[in-house]
Amino acid sequence: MRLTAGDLVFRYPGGDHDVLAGLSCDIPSGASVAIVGPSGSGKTTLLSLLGGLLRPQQGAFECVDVDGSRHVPRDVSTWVLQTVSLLPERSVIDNVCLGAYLDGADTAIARDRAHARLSDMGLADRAQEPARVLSGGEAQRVAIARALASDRPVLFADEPTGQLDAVTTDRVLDAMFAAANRTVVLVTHDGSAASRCDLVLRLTDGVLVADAPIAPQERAR
Amino acid sequence: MTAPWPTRLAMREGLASALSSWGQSIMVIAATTYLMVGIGLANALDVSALAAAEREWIDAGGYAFIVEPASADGGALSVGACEQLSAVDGIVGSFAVSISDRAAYPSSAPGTQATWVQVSPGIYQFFGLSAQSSADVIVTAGIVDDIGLTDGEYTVMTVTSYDGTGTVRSAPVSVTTVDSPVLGDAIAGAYLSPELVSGDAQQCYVLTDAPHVDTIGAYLAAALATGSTAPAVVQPRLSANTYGLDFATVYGERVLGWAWTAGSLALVALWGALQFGRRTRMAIYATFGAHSRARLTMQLTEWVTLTGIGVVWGWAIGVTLAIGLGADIRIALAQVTMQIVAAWGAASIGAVLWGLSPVGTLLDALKDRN
Repeated sequence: MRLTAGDLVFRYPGGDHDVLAGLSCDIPSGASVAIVGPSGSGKTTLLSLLGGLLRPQQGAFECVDVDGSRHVPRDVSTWVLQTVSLLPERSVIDNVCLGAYLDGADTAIARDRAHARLSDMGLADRAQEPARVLSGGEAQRVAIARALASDRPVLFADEPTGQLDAVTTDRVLDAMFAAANRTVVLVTHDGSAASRCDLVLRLTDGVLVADAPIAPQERAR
Repeated sequence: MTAPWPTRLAMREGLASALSSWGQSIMVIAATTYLMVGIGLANALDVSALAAAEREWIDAGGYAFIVEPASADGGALSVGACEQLSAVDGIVGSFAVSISDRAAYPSSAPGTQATWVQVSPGIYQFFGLSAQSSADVIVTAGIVDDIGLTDGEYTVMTVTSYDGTGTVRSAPVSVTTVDSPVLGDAIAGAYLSPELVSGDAQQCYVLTDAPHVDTIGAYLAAALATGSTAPAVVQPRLSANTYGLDFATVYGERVLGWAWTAGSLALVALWGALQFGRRTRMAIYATFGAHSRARLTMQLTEWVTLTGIGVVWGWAIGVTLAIGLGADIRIALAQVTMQIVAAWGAASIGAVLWGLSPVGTLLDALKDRN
């Protein structure tokens, strides 16, 4: 799934300045992209615009598959949000199953898939617990497991490893980048996470200041 | 390509929400039950009281007329004309009254003389009694108690001149009682003998059904005109009641009849508050492609599940309590059902409108920027 944006301008209601000012980018199908930049530079806003959570005041974005068909981003994507985004009164396994249900999976398949993703995240033993009892890092991994339980072709992730230690971060990133042909867009402050992506979009004050592919040797590190 | 939120998934999530948020679910069920019981019970008791008052009024002669000859004419009513009124559409029954100058007493209670009044046989239809023979005496229930006789008993009735000086006749009769206050004061305490089949009468009692009260009331004056053209004097048996005569208007203007509105507003307010508290949850679903239809399906599945339980419980408890507190069964069933259906229907429309309202900027909800 290819994501393109042209001349995006966005200002929050009541805001006194444009968070994004004429930003354009092109994310190839199946690529992994890191959006980086200082706090307040518009990273999350750009991610939200690409994913269809916000509408720009100006400009356009498209989500096009390999056949050239256009799609509504939210219909073809899954999310890992910066804030805890679990359904607190539901069990961990129920939260993760939701990702599989989006693909039309029946209950048995959804639960199998959910257990596998929870194992990937090291949380298989927490499956039956209510989500509200999880720590911040655990909740973040469950949210990632939920996103990965779906076969949707685009994954948007906002600071997915922000609450994780280095070892767990590697484990999570391995899982996120494992699916072939999935377009992954993540916002991160973590240099190591960004270095594993195919492309880095660097923002400063709502302006794209660098649009650079990562050298293979750098990614290898 | 992935299909956006099938209806089945939305329903599954709505049901799962109802089951997992059990604290909130119990609150919604309890509130629904309480509201439905309240509005249903209040109306069942209110309407039952109104219906009982109306029934009492009708039994006392609310739909009855007493017709007398025009005073200026000095004539009398025709017994035949009075009897034939029962064939008129809207008239339940009619009978003629001729108050004699004789008194009577049963052999079992000598000294209990009362006026001997001849009435036409239409009195049986008027009171819904099975017709007996003319060898019958009809008395009000209160008199029967005084003379020590019961309905269906036989006695020998002695008819005398009014001053008691001469016996006119003495014959066995069966006693038929009428437990009704509809009879006017002139004959309420008298012995009524259904032997008046022709000639003149001093009064004609006419009982109508509810829809024809006004029409029949206007019709009687001419129908029982005396002498040449003098219209008869038609008077309603009762002139007033505690509700001001018009029960239909009183029923239509009951404030409690609108209780369903308050019930539905309260239910929608509760539901709205609950959903407002859950807007982040809806935003989470929205990030996964749950558009307005899916969100509406989710919310309505939970709404139907929770309020449906509350409505059924509320109906059952409301009907049971209403009947237990003395409401008429049919009225209890009708009023509780009507109020609950109206309240739940209106509240469901409110729930749909709430479900269709925008959730705001998703990012705001998710990052709690509001």
